[in-house]
Formats: sequence, C-alpha cells, structure tokens
Amino acid sequence: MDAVFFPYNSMFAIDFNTKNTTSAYSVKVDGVNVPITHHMYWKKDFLESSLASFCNYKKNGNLFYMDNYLKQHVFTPINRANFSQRLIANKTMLDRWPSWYLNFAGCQTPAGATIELFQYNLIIENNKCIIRDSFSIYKTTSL
Amino acid sequence: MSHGISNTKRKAVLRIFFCLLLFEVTLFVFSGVSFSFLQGDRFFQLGADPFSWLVYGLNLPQFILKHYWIGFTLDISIIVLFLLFIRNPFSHGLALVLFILLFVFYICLMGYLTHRNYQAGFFMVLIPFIFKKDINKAFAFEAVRYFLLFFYLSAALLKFTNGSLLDPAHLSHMISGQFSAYFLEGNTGFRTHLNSYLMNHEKTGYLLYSGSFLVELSVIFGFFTKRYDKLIAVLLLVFHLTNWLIMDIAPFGQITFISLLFISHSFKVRQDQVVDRQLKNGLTIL
Repeated sequence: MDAVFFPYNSMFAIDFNTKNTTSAYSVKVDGVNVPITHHMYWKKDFLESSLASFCNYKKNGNLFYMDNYLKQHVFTPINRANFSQRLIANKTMLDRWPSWYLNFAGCQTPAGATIELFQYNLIIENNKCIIRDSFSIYKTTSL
Repeated sequence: MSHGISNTKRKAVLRIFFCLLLFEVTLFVFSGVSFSFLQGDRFFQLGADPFSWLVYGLNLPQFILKHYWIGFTLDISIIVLFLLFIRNPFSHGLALVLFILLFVFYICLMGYLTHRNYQAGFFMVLIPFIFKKDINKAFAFEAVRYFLLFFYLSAALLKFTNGSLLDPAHLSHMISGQFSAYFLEGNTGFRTHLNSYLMNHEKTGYLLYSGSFLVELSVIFGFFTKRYDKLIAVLLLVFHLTNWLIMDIAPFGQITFISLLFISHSFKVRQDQVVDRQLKNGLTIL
C-alpha cells in the first residue's frame, strides 16, 4: 500500500524492473558478510528493507524522499523547517546507524571494526541470478 | 450482533478470534520488531501518506524509540490489554485503546522499516469492536468487510488493467530478485530451489499468477452476498500462504483480518434496529 488507508495495492501487477537486472545490499564487518536471512519474517524484512533504504539514502547524497517533497510543496522556510524536523530523520545521528543495525541483526562488532555497506548488481541470465559487480556505498567504523 | 445466537456462544467465538489476533501480535514481539526491540533506531523514512505524517508529526514514534522504558511498557501493555479483552470481548473501551496502540505501532514499524507493507489488518480488524451499540458495530463491520474485499479486488483489477495477465513471463521475471539476499548468503533450500524452478518454467509461473488473479477476482461475489464468505476467506488464506512460499512475503498481521469473513454472519443489522435508528433521526418510515 502506498498509504495506510488508500487501498492501492498492486500486488505484483506491475513489474518495475524492465531489464534483466536486480540489486541486493549487504553489510560487511572487516570484510565478512553479515547474514540476515536466517531471522524470522518480520525481522528479516526489516533488516532487508531498512538496509536498502539507507544505502539509497547514501547514494542520493543524504537526501530522503520527504526532502524533495517538502521542497516542492512547502514554500515557507519556517514551515519547511518545522515539517522537516518531525518528518525527516535527524541526519546528524544517522552515521551511527550501521552500528545500530549490526547490533539489531545480532552481530557483535568489536570497537574500531570496519563496517562497509555493499551493493551487489545481479543479472538474470539463463534464468539464474549471477553477480555482475559489487561496490562499496558507505564505510565507517563501529563505535 | 446476530439475533438468536446466545451471548455465551458469541463470547466464545470472539475469544477464539482475538486469541488469533493476539498470536499475530506476539509474532511481532518474537520476531524482534516490537517497540522494545526497535529502541535506538534513528533511521526512518516516510512517503506521501498523511496518516504517517500525523503520527510522526506528533513525534510519537521518535519519542517512544528514544526511551526504552516506554517501548517496553507499551509492549507489555498491549499483551495485558489483549488478555483482558479476550476475557471480555464486548468491551468497546479496551478495543479502542488496542486499536490506537496497534495503529501507532503499525505506523511506527512501517516508518522505520521504510516500506509500507500490506499487513495492516491487525489494527483494522478492531474497528467494528470499538463501537458500543450492536447496530454501530454491524455498520462498522460492513465498512471494514467492504474495505477488505475492495483491497483484494483492486489487486485483481490492477493485474487486468496493467496487462500483466497477457505476459506469460511476468511472474518468472518478477520473482527473480525476491530471494537475491538468500542467494548472496548461500542460504539455499526448498524455497530458493522453487524460486529457481519458477524462473526457469514460465508456464508454471503463469499458471500460478493466473490462479492468484482468479482468487483475488473471486472476492467480487462478497459484494453481493455473504454466502461465500468462508470460502473466500479460505481462498485468500491459501493465496497468502502460497505467496509466502513463492515471494517470501508472510501474511502475519493479515490473517485475523481475513478471518473476519468467517464470522461475518455474526454482524447482522436487524431491520428493527434500522427502523429505531431512523425514528431517532426524525426520518419518516414509509
């Protein structure tokens, strides 16, 4: 659903990916992938979705959807600032988010360990998912 | 509620119903995504959704997730209130409090999960029960039931209008990314094998996709009669379980909502109640 009470529900009626490619994201601690798919459904979904969103946030130059939305729809600077404060996450706190994420995923990271967020681009060839390339999106150290 | 069914029997049915809802809600806790477990998360993302804006505008989720004791208290409170509600399922006050708490939880979870998942039924299911009078309960139930039917019918209509039914490769192509995280981690098993199989066999995928369309379309009968409600409920539950298997999207949070169709005959508006309401509103009965 795009909104809580608006019953728009595509339920996979639309395939937004017109090419034979897909992406996946993962977190590495000191070069080792942190697994998330073994968790129960809601936690696994949370870990997957929030990580993908954080990676997109970093790729978009630390901008959220609401940053652009408020810019286009709220013209008074004071109002925009007020709305931003409530409807957009505090960006000064977000550099620590990967540490929170790893703790939430059940991964104990030693202080000073390197945390890296990776995007994997996969292609669908001969009806199989094959990793085409991967690159680092964001790098930090654990607290 | 329905004339002629004893209060004892109604209570027993509702108790089973809300035990199912409590089970779904505790799954959030056991999965590790309740208020207590999300403590300290600062990253959320909202879309163009005024209901989310309202809740986040009041600073509720941000405040709850900053203070562990509040999140923990809310989690415990929800479970305790549910137990009290199961003991007395006619309590509209408890239903209202639970509705508000679960609605706030849903908005909070979706904001921090950064995706609006479809499983909103676990708070919507309480809407009919927040009303005190039977006639209001019955009307509210009809509205919720129609929303449920429209939700699934819209999925069928969108499949039809977007032309995806004419593309035999649609499902096979669409599921190609669903298990990518599993393949990356090497966490393979029956479902990833099934995913690979469906990617390779477009006809089987198309058969399943057409089947899902027919199940979603079948709810149209519910707009005209309640006779097939139980069958519709069974079909929707089977659809969701298959969806979980194939698409890795579990129905937890939606099961009790669909199960409203099993008890739809308990919410009947009696003709005498309608006449009483019309007389109270000053309408002339012809």
